Amino acid sequence: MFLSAFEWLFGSPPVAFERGEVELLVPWSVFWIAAGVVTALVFSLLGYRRLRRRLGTKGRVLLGAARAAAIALVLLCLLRPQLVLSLVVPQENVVGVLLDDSRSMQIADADDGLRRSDALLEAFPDGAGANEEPDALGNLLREKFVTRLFRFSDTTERVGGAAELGFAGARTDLLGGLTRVAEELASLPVAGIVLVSDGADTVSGGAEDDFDQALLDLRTRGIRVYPVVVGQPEFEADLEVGAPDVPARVLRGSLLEIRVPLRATGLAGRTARVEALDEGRIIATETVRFASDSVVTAVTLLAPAEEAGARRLRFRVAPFSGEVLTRNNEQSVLVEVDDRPLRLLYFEGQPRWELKFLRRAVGGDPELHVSCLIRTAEGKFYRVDVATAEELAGGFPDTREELFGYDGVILGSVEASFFSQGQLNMLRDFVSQRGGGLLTLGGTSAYGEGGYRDTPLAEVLPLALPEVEATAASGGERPAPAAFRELSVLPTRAGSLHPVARLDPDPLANEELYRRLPPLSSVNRLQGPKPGATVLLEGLGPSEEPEPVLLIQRFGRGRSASLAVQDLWVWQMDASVPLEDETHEVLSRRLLRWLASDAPRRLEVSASPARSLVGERVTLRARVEDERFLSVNDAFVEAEVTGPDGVISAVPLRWTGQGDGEYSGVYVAGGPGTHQVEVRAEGAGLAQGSEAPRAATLFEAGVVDDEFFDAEADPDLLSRIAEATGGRSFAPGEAEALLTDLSLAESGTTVVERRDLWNVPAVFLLLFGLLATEWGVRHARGLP
Amino acid sequence: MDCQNVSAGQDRLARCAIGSGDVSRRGVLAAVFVLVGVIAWGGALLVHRPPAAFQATPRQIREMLADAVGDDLGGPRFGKPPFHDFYFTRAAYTSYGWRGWHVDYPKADRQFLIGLRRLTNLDSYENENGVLLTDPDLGRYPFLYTVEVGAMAMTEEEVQALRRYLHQGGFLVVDDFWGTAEWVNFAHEMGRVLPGRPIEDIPLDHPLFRSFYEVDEIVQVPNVGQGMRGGPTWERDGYHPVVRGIFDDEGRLMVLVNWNTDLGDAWEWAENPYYPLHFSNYAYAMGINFIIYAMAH
Repeated sequence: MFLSAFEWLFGSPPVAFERGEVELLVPWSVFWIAAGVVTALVFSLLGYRRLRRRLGTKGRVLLGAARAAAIALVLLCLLRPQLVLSLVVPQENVVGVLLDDSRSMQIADADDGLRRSDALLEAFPDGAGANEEPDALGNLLREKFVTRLFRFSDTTERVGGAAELGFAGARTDLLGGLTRVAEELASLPVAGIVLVSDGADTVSGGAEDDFDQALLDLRTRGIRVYPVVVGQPEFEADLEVGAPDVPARVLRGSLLEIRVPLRATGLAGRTARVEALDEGRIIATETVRFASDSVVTAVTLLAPAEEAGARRLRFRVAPFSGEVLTRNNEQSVLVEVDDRPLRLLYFEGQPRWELKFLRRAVGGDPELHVSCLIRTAEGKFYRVDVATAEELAGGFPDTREELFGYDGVILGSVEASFFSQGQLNMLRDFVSQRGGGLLTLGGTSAYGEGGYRDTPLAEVLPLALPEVEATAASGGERPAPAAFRELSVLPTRAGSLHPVARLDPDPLANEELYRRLPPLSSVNRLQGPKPGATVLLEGLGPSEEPEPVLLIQRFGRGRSASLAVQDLWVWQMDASVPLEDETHEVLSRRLLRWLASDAPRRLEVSASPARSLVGERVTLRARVEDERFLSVNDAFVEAEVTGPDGVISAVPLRWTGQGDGEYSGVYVAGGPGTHQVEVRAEGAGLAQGSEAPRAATLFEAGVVDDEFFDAEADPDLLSRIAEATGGRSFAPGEAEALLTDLSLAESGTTVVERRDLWNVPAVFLLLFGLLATEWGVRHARGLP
Repeated sequence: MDCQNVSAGQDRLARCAIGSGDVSRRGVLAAVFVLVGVIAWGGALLVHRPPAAFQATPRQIREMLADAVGDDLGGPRFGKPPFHDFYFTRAAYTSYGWRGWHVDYPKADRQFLIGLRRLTNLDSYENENGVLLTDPDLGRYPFLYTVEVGAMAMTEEEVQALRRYLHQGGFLVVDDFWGTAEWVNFAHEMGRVLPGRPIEDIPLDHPLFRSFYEVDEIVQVPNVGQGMRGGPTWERDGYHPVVRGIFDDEGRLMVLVNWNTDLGDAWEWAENPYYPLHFSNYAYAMGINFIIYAMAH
């Protein structure tokens, strides 16, 4: 409406004024034009001088201005203003037409129930009835331009007509399509590229730097992109299960924490039940209710990882009635369940019950092996559960090779002065560089009381240590009685969601479980959590404010956890705790598993993408470190990929040269199914033969459903492409407007057209309006 | 019988006595049988259910505790600062007669604690800590020591409390009981606490004997009198010292049994120059080993 009114008033559409230039045919200088306008104004005001008393100052100015403007407008018209345009020469320019051939075009989200592909085929009719629709965009383009049609999805190729599109592409690569077409048409006069798509890019999503660079290249070459948007930017009613956040590898018997993102549109007041399935068996469920019509949320499922090996976990929500797209209600992910036990070292500066009951708690867990070292007297150590006679024979490790062999370290009540500076630095590096986990327990010789405040270990802890006089010494001097306090422990909000402290999925029931347990005690004065730390358990004691009891944080590559209390074992032994209560065992196991399960190994491997198409290049990446967890750049690294048909292929991985210890190689997935990758590394500093480091991963080749996720049309991305290249976005029904825009191209073969502006209706209407205003005022004041 | 003449009566009396001799021999025999029967029945009852008059009530035990240590009633002191990692805790139980848990208490405990605190870096409370088996805070002391279990006669409440304690992870060391009869009583009491669990010999290669000191033989530690006199080290028929244990389903030691030996006396009289030093040395080594082992397993 606005556009057509504008075109009637000014004789050309707004885009013509954007692209063209306004020039005056009679070349008067600015000075003379200004002088004429001022003269007209002065004469107008002088003419009304005698009428000051009857008109007043305001009236005189108004009438004078109206007359002056009218005179100025006439003067302007006498100068013959013209719009100079560059118009393409018919049939001498090429328009590249990119047609989206991806599977998301099958989505039927139009108001009349039609699919996106229907809108595309309607705009580009092909075959017998093609010429019966002269207003179709395809036909209009053919009238004026030479058109080159391309289909694109994950690849781009030339097609004769839209009928060749199957809408079966597994991905949408907008950038790839545009680049390819620009290359193909490089030697031709190009008026522009028409891009018919829903904009749901599944390759880069428009997020990469390459994307902006490619658009800039197109603009530099004068190629404008004109997207035609098909599909709705928001579905009427839809639920989408996002990519679940699952660690690629978990320890057998662990509680797997899976965060499943959900996006619900138009489902206010409805409830979704998210199910996690392992080989068809439901292993966890969680229910969520949508409060409004547009909800982006995530549910956290805790599922047990019971069987070792590659597990395909599926997450699904039953379709709602009226849902536009149901194929995005399910996601699957591959998880490798590992049964290699984690090795932890527990060091106590003096015999304590914590050690006995922690050992008992994790004793039944085959995935946890805790070697214990207890200092029973000055210079005397008692070793328990050591794997070999040599393990810890020299006391606490003093080499990186020995310490870094563990996945986690637990420090009990042992004063900082027991360790050498080198050992303290090594403990910090154990977390930050090696990626191990460190758990510190409360006690008379722990934290500030143990003299840790100004040590490298204080950096690692998730809590800040106040300035207290270190009371600890070998032999367990008691801290001041004032520091002793009992704490009733409860989970925080974060704790109720965390796999370590979440004993019951229901937050209220979880809190009740803790509420029933007896209070624990602390003798350490602590300053509170550091920024970035998460408090999982807190305790109510004599002070009004709750104190942190269990805190965690990441530190470098590893994890750090601190228990402020000294007697978690009371939850096992107190008479008020039922015999069958497993809180102490469960909490201890989960804490140690969490602490150490993420510790990287000396050889780590990953495959990208984890879900690939058949025939797609899958990049295998490995990270190699030696016994001291220092990167190795000159190792021999080879991957063996076992396909679903049992065929084994060897893929050499070479140092990338970009990062220390990083190797990569490429494998092309030959058939659909799960591919198992086993990598081994050999070289100086690495164990040889059967001891050589090995690592395994998985990837899946076959059907990729990416097109049905995040599948709403993305007009914003398409507008961004248009703006970056100088084009404009259109709806499928705006064929004429698109053609006008294309005709005003500055590239290709063009002719110059001059359009007079003095005779457009707008000038006449303005002149008429000014004179009518003057006349009206004069008439109202009774003037002639 | 009717006897009227005095002389005749005397004669008759004599005859009566003689005559009744035939009759009363059977009667005496019957009376003896009845008496033996009553004694046997009463004895059996005593073994299984001692009369209330013999049984110390919890109150009496508390009073005994108070008598033993004056106004400072040992334990429980958990939650009352200063807090310690370890309390050498004496388990107070119900027993027959004068013998029972309190023998050598509190001197043996105090003397042992002096050695324990000096030789290890354990943060231990320096005083004795007597606790009733039925005390609600029993679980706060995962190590229990007790003696004279040959006279043990626990109430049902004590049995249940001890069973729960051991299943939760508590550790009990018993000491100073001798001979077959006391063993039978102790085994019977343990059968009530942990039915069906055997009491097994602990071989010398068990880590218990190397947790702090290397102990390579089981020594019979005599009571103070025999030890100072240099007489035989055994009591009753307890000629051979034995260390035995009761294990849980996972093979973890729950009850440690020192039979035919008296470690407590060796601690109690360690300062006495007439008590042989090697017995005290051995007793300290064993006691410390027990505690270090219990705190790690």
